[in-house]
Amino acid sequence: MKDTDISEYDIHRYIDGEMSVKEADRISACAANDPQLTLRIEQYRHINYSLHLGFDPILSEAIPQTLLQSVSKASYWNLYAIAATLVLGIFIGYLGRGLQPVEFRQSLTQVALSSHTVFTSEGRHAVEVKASEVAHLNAWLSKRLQAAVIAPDLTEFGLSLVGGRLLPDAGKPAAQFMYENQAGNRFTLYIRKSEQKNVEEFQLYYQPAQGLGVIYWKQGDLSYALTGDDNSEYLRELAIGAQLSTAPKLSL
Amino acid sequence: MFNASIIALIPRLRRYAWALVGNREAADELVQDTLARAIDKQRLWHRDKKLRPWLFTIMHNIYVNNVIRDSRKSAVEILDGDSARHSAGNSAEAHAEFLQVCDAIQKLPDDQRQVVLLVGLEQLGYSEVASILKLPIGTVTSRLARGRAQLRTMIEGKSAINLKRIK
Repeated sequence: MKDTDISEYDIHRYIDGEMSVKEADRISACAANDPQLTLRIEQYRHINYSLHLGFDPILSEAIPQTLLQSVSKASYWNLYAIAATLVLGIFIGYLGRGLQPVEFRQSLTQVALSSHTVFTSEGRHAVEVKASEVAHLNAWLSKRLQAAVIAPDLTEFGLSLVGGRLLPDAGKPAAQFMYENQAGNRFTLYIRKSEQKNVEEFQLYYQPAQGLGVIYWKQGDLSYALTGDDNSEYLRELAIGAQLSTAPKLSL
Repeated sequence: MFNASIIALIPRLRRYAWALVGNREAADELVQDTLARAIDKQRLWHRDKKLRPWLFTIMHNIYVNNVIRDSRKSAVEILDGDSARHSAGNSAEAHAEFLQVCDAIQKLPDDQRQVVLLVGLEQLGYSEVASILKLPIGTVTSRLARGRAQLRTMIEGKSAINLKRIK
């Protein structure tokens, strides 16, 4: 197939993931035999790359007080909202410190990784309780872990809940929720009771391992480990999304 | 919860605003106006609606009303203190490249710059961008194509090294 069959618009839709897998395969096949087309795709991609390189550092800066105030000022009547705002403000401040790979809590990431590897490869038996029964799933896992265990809503990130299961963790109950994106990539959120109670440690820790990435944090009585593609930026977004989704019940 | 979710998105709003107006101070003003209006209008937001595109829509409306009316601040500002400080971790070469892209992006017409940034930097889908800018998807695609083609020409024209590097 020739380059001439591919319109300029097709190239952009290809770069931005706005086409079906079939269409994208066609462009990939053409590009493989056409250095000019490959170069053009690379140049356009490079524009995006440069934009991120240049502007992303602002994401990890502390948010100026004036901006935080313009959000919280309006809610002085609502103590709850102020408290949530403060907690999240601190949390985001912590995020600004960046992701630090660390040694401690190794066992959480190990157990999260192995549970991820074992169950994401399952087809029919990936989960014990399907997403269609999410209310039951949350109630059951909360009862077993004796803490509010809630499957975060990650649909904003293109992830739908597959379901969840109860797992043994050194003789104690732990939980795993599984999510899937449209491409069929799976992410799991492993949750167990923290050793210390009621710790608010909003720092996110990232650890790449076995071609996967694990991001983990503590919130309330629980420790969380989110496992998926080795992409710290994306996992961080998911982790924030997960925290926001469950924040009202867990962080206050 | 609404406020907490908005706060979590402030860094994203700041990033886009900075890239859009090319000046950090003006960008934070735009973010501030956006936040104020979002708080004001929070009753109009429904939980089933995604918060991020909603905030970008508000920002876009304010930008169209205010910022375009005033003359945009000089894009040169972005080339000194700000970006030098922020990309300190990057190599000199990467930094030079960033400056070049920034310079080029500020030279694009507003309508093309918005689309290039919403798609390329914010990674929003074409349909989301269309709804934020209140345009048909076809127009989004064509502005994106024109904007990127211009950027490519500007960058290509400036540096042959750049071309070699990305092969």
